[in-house]
Amino acid sequence: MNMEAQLKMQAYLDGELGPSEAAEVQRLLEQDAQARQQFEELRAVRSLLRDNEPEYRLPESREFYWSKISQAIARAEAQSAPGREDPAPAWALLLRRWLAPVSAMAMVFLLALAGLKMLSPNHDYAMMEIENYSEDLMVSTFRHPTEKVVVFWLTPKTYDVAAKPAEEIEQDELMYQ
Amino acid sequence: MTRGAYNFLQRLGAVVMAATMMLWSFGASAANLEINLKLIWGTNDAKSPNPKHKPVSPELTNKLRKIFQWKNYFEVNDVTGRVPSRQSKKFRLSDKCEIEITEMEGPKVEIKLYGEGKVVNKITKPLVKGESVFIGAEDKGENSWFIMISLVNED
Amino acid sequence: MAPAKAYKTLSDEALVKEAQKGDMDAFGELVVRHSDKIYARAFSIMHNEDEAIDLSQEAWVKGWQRLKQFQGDSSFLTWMTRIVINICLDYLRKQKRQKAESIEALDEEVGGVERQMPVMVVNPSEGLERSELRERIDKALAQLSHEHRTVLVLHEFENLEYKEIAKRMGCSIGTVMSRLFYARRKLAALLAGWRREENM
Repeated sequence: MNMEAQLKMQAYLDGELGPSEAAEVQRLLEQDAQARQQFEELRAVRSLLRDNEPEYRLPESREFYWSKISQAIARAEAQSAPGREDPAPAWALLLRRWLAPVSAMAMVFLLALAGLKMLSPNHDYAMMEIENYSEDLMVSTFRHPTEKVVVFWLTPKTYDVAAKPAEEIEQDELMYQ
Repeated sequence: MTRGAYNFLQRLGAVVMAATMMLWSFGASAANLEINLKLIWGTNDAKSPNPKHKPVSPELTNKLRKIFQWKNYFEVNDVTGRVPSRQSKKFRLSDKCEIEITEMEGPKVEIKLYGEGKVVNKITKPLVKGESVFIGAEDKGENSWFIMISLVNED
Repeated sequence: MAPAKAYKTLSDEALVKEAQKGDMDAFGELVVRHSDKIYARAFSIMHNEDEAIDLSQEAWVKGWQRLKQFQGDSSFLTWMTRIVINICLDYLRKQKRQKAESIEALDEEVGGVERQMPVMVVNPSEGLERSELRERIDKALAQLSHEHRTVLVLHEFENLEYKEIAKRMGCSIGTVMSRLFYARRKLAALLAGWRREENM
């Protein structure tokens, strides 16, 4: 069996052949015992690998691994931080002079819109309060912005901090805009 | 900007603020609340240890999967009740767990979680239709329970 | 912002949304959660612990930098896996590993070695515990060149088609096919050979 035929047989095994070439390989397998044997070997290795992918575990602690990553991110961000902006050209300064009153009016308009939005019954500007009475548990909060869900999660305290008294959570801390 | 234009914008701002405060005060009126609470068990196991617990609806499963890491969610209990204006109502969700809800001024409610008869925590926050509040915790590091609190109706 | 402890309970989707807004703690939870899998993919290609650690860390940094581009078309883990694979392939391209691979490449071009390998008739997995079998497969994979191992990993473990593998590896589909064929036959020969030795 030549190399081309063997590769076609492999491609048939992997579902990479079109209908006419696949039919050609099927005929070959029906007629040629050696081809069948080789096909079976390829099929067996393929199954063996797919069912038994070796498992590898990170050989260092996750905390150490993450600490290196977070440091690398900080370094990368420090390197890409923008420098001082060049002073604006004269035409930009002139445009700014005329834009200032327009933007002041735009801000008033936006504030008025925000005021109207406050009237929506679903909009929520009040502060939240959490009072935790448990000595063993602490409360974490999370707000999912698209699913409209606020989660209060109780976790065992792992450090020696007294239960917090009434805690005011600013809405801004939870609104991630 | 001319002085006239500035004065106009000032007056406009004052009118908007007054209207806002008037409409805001309308929102502070009393209301009776119809509240639904579900006690849910979250797990990666195919079944809940208690055969009586049914899986939550597919829509709710999809929603919970977007928020939490577990694959399957089972309804342990589902109660709906009425909280009269400026009053409290306790909802018993299991032998060990109760939630007391108090209707307060504006859209705010006070939610108290009781574990084995003792107050665990108290949360005061607005409760609005379309938004759910979850109080939950992990169970033995692998599973979880949460109480899902939703406002069904107010009148 | 929610303290880190709450993140352990959140889905990948929720964590990604937080991380996209700049929350490093949420991203840290994603790293901790998927560090084994991303490292494992890097190691399966490189078969070198230090390189796999470095390249997987590089993948996480890149993941953070590109996070806003993640639209959720695939799972977060699939997206990160693609990143680490590309980083490994880029690294291999830059590497100069001439000697050992040129011999194998020559064998592959002339269709020499795999023609000489008899067809496997011994079942290499018979009687083996799963963990033992995986160890043997790992040992056999370690004996392949980077190119051959990479084609196997991308095809068998990542389920990529020939065309996609060719694109990622910067070679022709024909080269992918012959490398895959060689790698499979070599693996079969190694595993059957070890089994035969045991049965003697």
